[in-house]
Amino acid sequence: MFNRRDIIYLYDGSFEGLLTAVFESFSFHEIPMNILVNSNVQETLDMNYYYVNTDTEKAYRVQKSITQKISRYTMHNIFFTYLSVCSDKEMKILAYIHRCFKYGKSVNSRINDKYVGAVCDAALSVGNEAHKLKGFIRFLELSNGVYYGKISPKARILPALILHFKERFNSMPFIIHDLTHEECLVYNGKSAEIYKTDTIPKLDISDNEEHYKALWREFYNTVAIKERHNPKCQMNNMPKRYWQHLTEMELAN
Amino acid sequence: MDIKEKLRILTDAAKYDASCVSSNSTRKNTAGGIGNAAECGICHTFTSDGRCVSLLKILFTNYCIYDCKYCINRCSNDIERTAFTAREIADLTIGFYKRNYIEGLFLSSAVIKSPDYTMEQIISAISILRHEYHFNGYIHAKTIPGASQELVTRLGLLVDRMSVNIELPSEKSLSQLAPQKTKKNIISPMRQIKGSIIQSKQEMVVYKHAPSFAPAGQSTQMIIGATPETDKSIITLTQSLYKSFDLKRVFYSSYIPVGDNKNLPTTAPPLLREHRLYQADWLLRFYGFDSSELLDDKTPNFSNEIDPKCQWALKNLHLFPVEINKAPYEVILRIPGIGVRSAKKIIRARRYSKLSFSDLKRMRISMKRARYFITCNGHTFENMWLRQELITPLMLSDAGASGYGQMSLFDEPTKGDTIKCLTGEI
Repeated sequence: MFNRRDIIYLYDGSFEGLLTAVFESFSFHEIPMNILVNSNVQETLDMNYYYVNTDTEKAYRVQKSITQKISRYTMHNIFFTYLSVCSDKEMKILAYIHRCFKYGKSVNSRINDKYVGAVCDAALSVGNEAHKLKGFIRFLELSNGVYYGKISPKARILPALILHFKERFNSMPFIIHDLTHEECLVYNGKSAEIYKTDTIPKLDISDNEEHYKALWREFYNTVAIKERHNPKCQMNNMPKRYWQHLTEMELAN
Repeated sequence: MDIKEKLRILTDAAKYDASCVSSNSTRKNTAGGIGNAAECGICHTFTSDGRCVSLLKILFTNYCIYDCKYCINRCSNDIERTAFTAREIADLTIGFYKRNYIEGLFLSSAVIKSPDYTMEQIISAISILRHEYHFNGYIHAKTIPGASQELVTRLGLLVDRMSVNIELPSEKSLSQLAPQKTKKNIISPMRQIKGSIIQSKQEMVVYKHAPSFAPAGQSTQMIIGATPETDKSIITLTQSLYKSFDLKRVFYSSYIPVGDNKNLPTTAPPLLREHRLYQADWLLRFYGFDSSELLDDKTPNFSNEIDPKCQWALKNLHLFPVEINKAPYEVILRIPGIGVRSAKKIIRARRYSKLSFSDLKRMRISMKRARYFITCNGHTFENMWLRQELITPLMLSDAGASGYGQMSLFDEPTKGDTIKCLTGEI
């Protein structure tokens, strides 16, 4: 592999795009200086830029080779790192994939390796945030029977939530709106899809909603034991950044 | 009385129950149903006392025929009384569940009319949820001591977890403070539940669709600090409960003064004691410790300054330092500051390369306590000299709020880690 310090790969920001970039890097036998999303790059004269054309066929080949030769868990790690907000995630993923093929199935045990550790950590933090939000999302019932919930996560965790809520709500349609990344997870009772959206819709909230909100707040405030008041422990477990969309915390803010 | 008022009264009466976990069940959603259980458990919010809310924790009623001295619902206490109907509980649970407020229901009750009657009420509410609404989320129900075996079986087939409260850590205290409850009445349903769970697991091996009985197991709870038992007797009791009844959890609830009986303390015991008991509980379940190793007759209580694992390690300093690259898993697990996850990481990583202190740091293994007890390839951490009289004050000054200041070997542990422990998860 040739370490190229003079070329930067640009991809379209999609997961397929990133895997295509990985594919190209392997087929050119070179490691680029960086891999970046093309929309937020200002080109400079002293650098060469290579535009990666997203190719699902190539992306699929990378994915297949990793799942078959290493493990599905490794692919999961790569996908979650891609969803994360950690800096330089593309290069970390590329380095991690190099180690996957060097070490084989034992790669995820070698956590003392810098890049394996970095990818495992990033994937873990995305997984943790997704797990927290599985509990902290609050749905509103709209008058057409759809349930709508808003979140502001750090990472793009919507794909990690699909299966959980789908299994849970079965035929009940719901929408999860990610305000940070302006994305919407829409489930119509059969299949789920993620859409880009930059508007906050006007919601037609059902009449039941205030009743249940009041009941929930009553429950939340009553179930705390006054003699054991411990706000620091509360904030450790439920950091304040989650509070803005919590029904029971609306009045506290 | 409207539903909001009822919810307030019956939540207020239920809040002293410590358990609010939703883990260990793998119940799956059915076609046309709503809800499934998440095996790891999910916390939906945290109250201002730092406790997790994952289940709708309510009593069916707080009308009670018993007069347990430590309990807020005792019949001699003058408080507002009310009762839900089965339908109200079911509707509330579904309404909350659809909005993702809760993971399921935790239904308990004071004893109204008779234990059997109370159990029937609980069963009727849960039946509506399971059979009418096809609710497949988590349900935890309390068994009422003294209820008939048949009712316990019916309840067990509906819920995920069952629990019988052992209430107090000894029979003597029980007869003093809860004269209408007997040890036999508490132990016999526990034994029955254990038998039914084993039986149902065996049946499921043979028949795929055999009914599952309390798939998330059973738990219990005891109040600590209301009676004079030492930590040692509590931990020994806990261990025997885990061994003889296959319990998933034993919960400790620090006594909060609600009674005016002369046998009860007027002030609450420190929450730190509860925290230490939970730490020791974890050592019993996940770290392979035996209760006799943790405390003996000379030191019957846990220390306020350091946690039970450190306390054990300082007593057994001849076993340390441990070589990270060679020691077996069971030994690594006993190093203070290293938990199950870290120990597993170490075991996995050292198969491929020798680990140094910088490797451990990269693996995000906390060195705060562990550094006094380990060697990597024969080196101690920064060539530190390991001796008990040095380690104890060092660890105490680490735990204090002093931060990264100069560490003095001779300071008294002024602040201790008391504050730190109080803010930890309960």
